[in-house]
Amino acid sequence: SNKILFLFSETVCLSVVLLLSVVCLGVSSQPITDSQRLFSIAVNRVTHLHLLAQRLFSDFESSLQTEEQRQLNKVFLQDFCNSDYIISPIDKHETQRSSVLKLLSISYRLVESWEFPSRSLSGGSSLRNQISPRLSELKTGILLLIRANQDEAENYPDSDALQHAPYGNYYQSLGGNESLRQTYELLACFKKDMHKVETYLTVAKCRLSPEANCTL
Amino acid sequence: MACARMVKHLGLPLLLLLLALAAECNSMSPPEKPDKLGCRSPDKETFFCWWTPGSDGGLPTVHHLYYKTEGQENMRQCPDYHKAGSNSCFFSKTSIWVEYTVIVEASNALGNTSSDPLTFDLMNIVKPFAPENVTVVVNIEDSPHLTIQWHTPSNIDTKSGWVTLKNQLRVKPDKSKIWKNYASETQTHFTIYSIDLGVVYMVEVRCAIDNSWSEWSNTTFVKVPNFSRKDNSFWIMVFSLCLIPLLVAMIILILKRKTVKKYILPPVPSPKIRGVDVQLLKSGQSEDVINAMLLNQRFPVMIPWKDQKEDYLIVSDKETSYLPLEKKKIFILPLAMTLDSEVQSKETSEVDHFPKDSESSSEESSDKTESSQLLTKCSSANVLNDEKANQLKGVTEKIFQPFGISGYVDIPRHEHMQEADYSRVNEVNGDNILIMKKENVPHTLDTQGQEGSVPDNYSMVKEVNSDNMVFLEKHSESVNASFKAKGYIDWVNQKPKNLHMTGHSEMGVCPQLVGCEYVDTVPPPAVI
Repeated sequence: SNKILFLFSETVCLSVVLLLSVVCLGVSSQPITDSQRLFSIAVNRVTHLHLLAQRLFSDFESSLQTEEQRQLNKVFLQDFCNSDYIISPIDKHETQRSSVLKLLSISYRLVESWEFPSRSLSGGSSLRNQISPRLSELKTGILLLIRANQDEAENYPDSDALQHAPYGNYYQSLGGNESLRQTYELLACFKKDMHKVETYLTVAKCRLSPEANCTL
Repeated sequence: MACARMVKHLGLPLLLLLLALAAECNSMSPPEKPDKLGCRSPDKETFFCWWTPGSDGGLPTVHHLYYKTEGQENMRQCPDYHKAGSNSCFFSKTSIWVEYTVIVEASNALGNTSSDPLTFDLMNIVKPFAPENVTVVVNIEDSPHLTIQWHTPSNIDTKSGWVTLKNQLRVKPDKSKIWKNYASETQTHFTIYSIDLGVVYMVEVRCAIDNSWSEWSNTTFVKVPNFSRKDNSFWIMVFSLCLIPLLVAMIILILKRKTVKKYILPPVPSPKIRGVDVQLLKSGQSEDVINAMLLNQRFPVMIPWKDQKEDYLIVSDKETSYLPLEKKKIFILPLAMTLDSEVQSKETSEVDHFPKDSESSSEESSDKTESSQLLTKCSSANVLNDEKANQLKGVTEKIFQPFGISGYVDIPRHEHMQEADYSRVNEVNGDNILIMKKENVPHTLDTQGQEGSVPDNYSMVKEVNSDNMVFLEKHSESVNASFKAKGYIDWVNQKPKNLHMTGHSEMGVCPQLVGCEYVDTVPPPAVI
C-alpha cells in the first residue's frame, strides 16, 4: 500500500506540473497571437475598403465622357487631398525604415480623417452605405493594435500621434456648382488613402510575423 | 572689267537662291511630336514609360523625356533610356502616392516638338508581368488530374509585404470555346481533377497586384492519354474467370434444389396423438375414432360420491301418476362424459361399459341391477320416464324429456314408509286436495294424551280458518271436548313450524293428503 500511495502522489505531482507549464506557455504566447490575429483582421478590413473605393471610382469614371476625364485629370493636378498634411512614407524604403507603431499611428490618422467625409459618400447604393461603418470598425481595430504594440515600443509620444486638428468636411468647402469635380476628387482621394493604409498595415503585419515569407 | 564685277555681284544671291531651292526640294522639318505615351510599373517600385515617335522631319531626331513630381519646379531628365528598350525610359527610384508629370520631346536640327504631358500616380500604373515557367503535369494513376506550377514574375518583393500577389488560372479543352477559371490566392501551384481522358487541354495563368491583373501567360498544351487497350483486356479476362465458378455453383444449386431446400428449410414437426392416426380422423370413420380415443384414454378414477347411498327419485312433470317408491339408483356420471344424442343412440355398447367401470370402482354393485340411470347435462336435466324406468333392467332405451328442472330431487329414505293408501279418498279437490270420507275410525290421534303434540293426520279436520286455524270435526263422544278446546290451540300454535316444513320434506307425514303444502297456500277446503 505504501508503494501505491507513493506512485499516486507522484502521478498527481507530475500532472500538476504539466498543467502549470501548459498554462504558462499559453499565457506567454498570448500577446503574439493576439497581435497577429488583430493584424489579419485589420488587413482584411482595409483590403475590402480599398476594393470598394476602386469600384466606386471606376464606376464613376466610366460614367464620364473621355473629354471630361481628361479635364478632370488636369484639375486633379492642382488640387490636393485632405490627408496631404499627414506626412507618410512615399516609397518602399521609407516604409521599411518606419517602425510598426509609426505605421499604425499614420494609418489611424488617415482612417480618422475620412470619418466625416465618408458620410457624403454614403447614399445611393448599398455599396456606398457600407463605407462609413466599416471605417469606424477599422479605426477601432487600429487603435487596439496601437495599444497592443505600445508596451514593447519606444516611448512614442501618444499625444503627438493621435492629436488632430478638428476639421470639417474639406470637400464640402469647395465650390458647390462643380459637383462632378467634387465627386471625382472625393473618390480619387478616398481610393488613394485606402491604398496607403493597406500597404502600411501589410508591411507592419509582415514585420511582426515569424516566417520570412510573408505572403502566406 | 565691268562683266567680272557683275558676275561677282550676282553670284552670291544666286548661290543662296540655289541653296534655298535645294533645301526646299528635300522637305526637312522639325520633328513631329511623340505620341502615345504610356507608363507601367510591374512591381510597385519601379516603372518605365514609352512613346511612339512621330516623323523625324528628315533630320536626325533625338528624343528626351522629362518628368517632374508634385512638389518640384524643374523638369528632370530620364535617368535610363536603355533598360526598357528603345523609345522608353526606366525609372528605378520612384515615389508612390505622388503625381508624376512626364513629357517627351523630340528635337532635330530644325526644332523641338514636345508631346502632351502625362500625369499619373504610381499606384495607378501598377501592372505585373505574366507568371513564368508554367508547367503542367498529367497524372492518371489514381484519378486523372492536372498539376500546374508556375513562378511569380521576377523582381517582385512579396517577402516584406510591400506587394501582395493574387493568382488565377484558366483551362479549356482544345476544341471548346469556353474557359474555366480557377482562383489560387497566393499559391504558385494548383491541381485540377475534373478532366476527361483523351483530350488536349490548354492552360494559362496570370497574377495581380492590388486588383490589377497581368496578361495571360503563354498557353501550355497538354494531352491526357486514354487507358491502354491492354489494360482493358486484362480486366475482361479477370471478370470472365470469376464468372465461371459462379455459373457452376448456380447449376449445382438448381440440380440439387430439393436437398438444398431440405437443408435450408427443415420440415417442422407437427403434433401427434399416440394411437390415433391423423388419416383415420380425416376419413371420417367415427366408430373407429371413438374406439381409438376411448380405448387409449385413461379415464380418471371415478370417486364414489358421498351421496350415492341415497336413493334418487325420478320425477316427471307430464305423468300424473306418482312414481312408486322403489329403490332406484341413479347414476350420475361425471360431466366430462356427457354424450350427444347421436352418440346416445349407440349406447348399448356404451352402457355396457359403464357398469363395468362402475363395478370395478364403486361399492354398491348390488344396487345396480335394478337401477335406472339419470344422465344430467349442465344446462338441462334429462329425466327418464319413470314408468319405463321401472322396466329398465339393463337399460336399453331411454327417453329423454327436457324437464326444465336443473337438478335432481333428493328424497330422504323412510324405512317406515308405507304405500299410499287411497282407499278412503272421497273427493279430489283441485290438484292436490283429497277429501277424505268420514269414518268411524278410531282416531289415530296419538297425540291426544299429549299436550303440544301435533296430530299426524287431518282426519279430524273440520274447517280451516285462515292459515293457521283448523277446525276439527265434531267427532263422536270419544272426542274430548277439552281437547278440542285446548288441543287445537296448541296444535295451532305449533302448526306453523310444521306447515313450513312440509313443503320440503314431510311428504310421508300425511300420506292421505299428499302435498301438505296446500295448507299454506290454498284456501281452506270444506271439510265434511
